[in-house]
Amino acid sequence: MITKDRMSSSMREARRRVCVLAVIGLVACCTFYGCATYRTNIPQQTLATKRVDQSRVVWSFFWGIETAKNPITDSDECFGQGLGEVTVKSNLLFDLISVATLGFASPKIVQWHCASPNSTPGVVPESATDLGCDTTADSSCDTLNSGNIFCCVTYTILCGKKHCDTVRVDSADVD
Amino acid sequence: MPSIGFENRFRTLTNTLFSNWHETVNKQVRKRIVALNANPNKSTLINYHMTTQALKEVIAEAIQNGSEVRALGGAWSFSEVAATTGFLIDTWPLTYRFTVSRTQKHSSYAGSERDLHFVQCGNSISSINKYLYKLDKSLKTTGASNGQTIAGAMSTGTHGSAIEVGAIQDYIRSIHLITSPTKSVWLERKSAPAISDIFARKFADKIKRDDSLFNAALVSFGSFGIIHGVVIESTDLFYLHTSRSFIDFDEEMWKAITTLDFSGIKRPIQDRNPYHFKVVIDPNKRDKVSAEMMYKYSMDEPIPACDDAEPAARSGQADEVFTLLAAVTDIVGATKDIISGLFRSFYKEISGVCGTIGETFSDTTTRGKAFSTAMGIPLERVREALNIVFDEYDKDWAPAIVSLRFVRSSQATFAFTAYSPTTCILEIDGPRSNKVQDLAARVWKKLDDNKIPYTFHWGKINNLSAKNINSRFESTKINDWQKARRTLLDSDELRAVFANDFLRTLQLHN
Repeated sequence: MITKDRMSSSMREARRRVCVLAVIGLVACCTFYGCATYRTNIPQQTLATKRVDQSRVVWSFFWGIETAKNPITDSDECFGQGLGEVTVKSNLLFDLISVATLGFASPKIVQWHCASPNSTPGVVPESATDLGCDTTADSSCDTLNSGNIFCCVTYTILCGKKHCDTVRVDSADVD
Repeated sequence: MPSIGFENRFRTLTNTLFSNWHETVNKQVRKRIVALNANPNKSTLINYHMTTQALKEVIAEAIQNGSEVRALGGAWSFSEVAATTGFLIDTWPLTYRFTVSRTQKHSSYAGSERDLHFVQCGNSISSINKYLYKLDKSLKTTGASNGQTIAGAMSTGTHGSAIEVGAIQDYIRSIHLITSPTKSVWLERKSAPAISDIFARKFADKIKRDDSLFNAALVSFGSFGIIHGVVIESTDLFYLHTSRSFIDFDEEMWKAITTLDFSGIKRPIQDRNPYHFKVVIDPNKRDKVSAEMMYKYSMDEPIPACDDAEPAARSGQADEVFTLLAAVTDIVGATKDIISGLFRSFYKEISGVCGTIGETFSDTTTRGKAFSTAMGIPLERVREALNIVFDEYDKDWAPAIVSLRFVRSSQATFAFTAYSPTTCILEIDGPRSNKVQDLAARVWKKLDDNKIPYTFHWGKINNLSAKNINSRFESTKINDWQKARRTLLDSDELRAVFANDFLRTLQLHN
C-alpha cells in the first residue's frame, strides 16, 4: 500500500524532474536558437523570397575598432534591388562570449532579405506589327546589365529577327 | 530562337540548401537560379520575351542534366509541394505588369478592360494590392498575409475567408505557361475568354482555350510547367469594416458556422451579411470564440464609424517563440493557461477598423517553426469535425488553436475549396511541436474513421499519399488533372522535368 507521504514524495520528485527538464529546455533553446531578435525593415517594400544562405555570424572585435568581416553588400546579395529587411539575433552563448571577453569579441547573427523590384507598368503595343522593338536598344541594357555587351547583343538578335516580325495569329496557333 | 544563355542573364547558386519560410522543408538543391528581368524596374514586352527565352533554356539544361525544375514563389508552403532537389527557380524578381486596353480584351469578355491586368509570376499579393490601389482597383480576396507571389498563391489554392468570392485562383483569367524548351502556351477557359488573340500571341507561342486544361492548370503547384504570367481580374476598390469580438459558443454560433445564417449571433452591422467571416477557437476555453466579421463597402457608400487600419508593419509574431513553446509544452505539458493567455493577446477585440483589402490584410506573417494544417470540409459536417478536434484535444492537449474560414467553392480541378456552395476550412495552427503534430494526426485519422469527407490545403501540412488521395479528391478530378498534365506536357521527358518528390509520393507524376 502506498502511503500518503510516499505518494507526495514521488509527486514532488516528478515535479522537480519536470522543472529541471523545463529549465534545460529553455537554456538549450536560448543558447542555440536565440533569445533576442532585432529587426528593421521598409514597411512598403515587398520582400524577396527567403534564402537560408542569407544569414551570417558576424564578429565585432576590440570594441568596434575592427568591425565585422565580410560586409553584406546589396550588389553582391540582392542583384541591385536593395535590402528590404535586416534581422540581428543574439543568443545566450553569444552574450556569454561578449561578457566573458568584456566586449573584446562580440558575435551576432545577421540575416537579411532582399527587396523585390517595383516595376513600373508597361503597355503592350496595340499593333500586331509592333513588339516594342522600335525603342532604342539601350533601354533593355540599362540598370541591371549596364555595360553588358552580351545583353545588348541578344536584344539585337531578338529584335532583329523573328520577334520583330508581325505577330500573325494563324489558326494553328489557337486551339 | 537564338540562345540567350540563361547563365548570363540569371544568377545561379549550386548545391545550396533550400528552406521554406516556416522551416518545415529543408532540401539540398542542385541549382538555385534567381531569375532576373533585363531591366527589373520597367516592364517591357521585349524584356519579358527575353526572360521567357531564358526560362526555356533553364528547362533545356535541366532535361540535358536529367534534373527537375520547379519555379518557387514566396516559399510560404508548409508542405513539400514547391520543393525540389533539382533546379529551383526564384521568381521573386519577375515583377512586370502590363495594362490591357479595350482592343486587347477578348471580344466576348463582358467586363471592363480596366479590371484586367497581366502580371508576371513574381509579383507578390501585397505588391499587386499597392499597384491596384493606384488604379482605384482591388483584388477580390487574398489570404490573411500577403507575401506570397501571385503564381505561388494560385497554384496552391491560397484562400481568404470571403464567403461569396472564392480563393485566389478564382480571379485568374489567363495563364502564360512555359511547358518546354521550345514552347509556351496562353491558357484560358473556352467558356470565358478574357484576352484577344493578338495580345496573347505577343507573349506565347500558342493559345489554348480549353476549360478542363485551364481549370487543371490553376492549382497545379508547378507541375504543369513554369507559370510566367497571369491575367488577374480585379474589382473596384472597396473598404472592409472589420470587427472582432468574443462571442458565446452556443447553438446560435453553431448555426452560423454550419449554415452561414448569422441572424442569431451578435453582429456589429445588421443591414448586410459579412463579406468575410472567421472563427478562432481556443480549445482550452471553448465557452467563447473569437468571431471576426468584415463588411464590404464601396468607395461611395457611407461607412460606419471606424478607426483606420494600421499601415503594414512587418513585425510578425513568434520568431523563436514557436521554438520555445514547442520545447516547453513538449517537456512540461501543464502550460495550457499560458497558451490561452497568448491566444487572448493575439486575438484582441476590435470594435471597428476600416481599410482597403491591402490595408486590412497586410504583409505580416508568423515567423519561426510553425505548424499549420488546413482541411476543406462540407458545411454540414463541420460540427462533427470540430467535435472530433475537441475530443482529441481533451484526450491529450496541444498548444494549438483552431480556426474556421468559409470560401465559395472553386472551378479549379484540384481546388481544396471543393465543396459546393461553400467550403469550410478547418485549420489547426501552433508551434511545430510533437504535441501539435500528434493532435493533427489523430484528428485526420478520426475524420477518416467517422467517414467525414475532407480535402487538404496543398500548401499546408498534410498526410497525403498515393493510398489516400482518392479519399481526399474525387477520382474524376484526379483523372482530369492528370489528363490535362499529359496534354500540356506531351512527353515522358517533360513530365519528369516538372515532377518532384511530392508528386511522386502521390503517384501523380505520370
